[in-house]
Amino acid sequence: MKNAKKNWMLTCDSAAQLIEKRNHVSLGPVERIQLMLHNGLCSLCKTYQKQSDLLNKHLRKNALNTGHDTDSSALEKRILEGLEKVQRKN
Amino acid sequence: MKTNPQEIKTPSKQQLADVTLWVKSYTKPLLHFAMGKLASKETAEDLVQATFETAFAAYDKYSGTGNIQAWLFTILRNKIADFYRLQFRLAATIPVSGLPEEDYFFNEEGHWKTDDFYHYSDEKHLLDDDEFNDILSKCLKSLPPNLMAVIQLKFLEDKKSKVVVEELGLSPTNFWQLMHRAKLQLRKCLSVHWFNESTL
Repeated sequence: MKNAKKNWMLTCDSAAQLIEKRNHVSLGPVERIQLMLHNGLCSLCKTYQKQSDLLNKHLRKNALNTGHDTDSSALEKRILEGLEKVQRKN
Repeated sequence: MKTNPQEIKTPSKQQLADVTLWVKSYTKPLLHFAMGKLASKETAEDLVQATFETAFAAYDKYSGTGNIQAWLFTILRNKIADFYRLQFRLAATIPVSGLPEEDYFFNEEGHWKTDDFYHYSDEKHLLDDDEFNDILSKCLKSLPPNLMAVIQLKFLEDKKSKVVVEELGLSPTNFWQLMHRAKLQLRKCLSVHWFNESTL
């Protein structure tokens, strides 16, 4: 019985692993119940799950260098010069 | 998208004129996209340039087959994915020092170290918040290269994890554990820089 209890109740680090794992592979029935039970009792992991889902949403969008200045005129010039060089070589 | 250089025909003047038009029309959106996916502006610029070089070389194969912009974006995405796969392989050969262990986030009983754990409430607002994006961008850049690579490969085209796993030659478990570690680090970084400053 002691073992059964130990197996059903996850620690936070195991729960956090399942929170990520479920994004990639479907959890088994035991894992799903374990996570549900844990999150029902643990507000930190419940919050972590929300934060983790929020991160997924952000990461799906362009997350780096947002609000940057995309002045591309210098790059356009460089690319065109490069292409002309290729053309002349041929 | 791999082309054998020997098979490439000499691009004509007309082709150069066409591609010049593409460069003028699409450099800006391509660069904008690349900078959203890459930490360094120089790398973003180089990959956009390489995209047009590939397009120019493959002109005969692809022109007239449809949407030029979509085609250019496909080439660019492939180049970014190649870049991150290379980054991942390189990072695997170099031992990363200072990588936080699991107990950086959890105590010996497996509980969260709560000193850095902040709750927040206004999620919908955060999604559009420039300041939040700015901090997330900085936090992403602070990740070790292998973790950055798995994150970007996973979200570049929102690929199925199975595909990314195969491309990197990892086991599924290794892959989601790397993702897990990356997310823990990101959350920690965000907590320090953002969540604790919100009024909750």
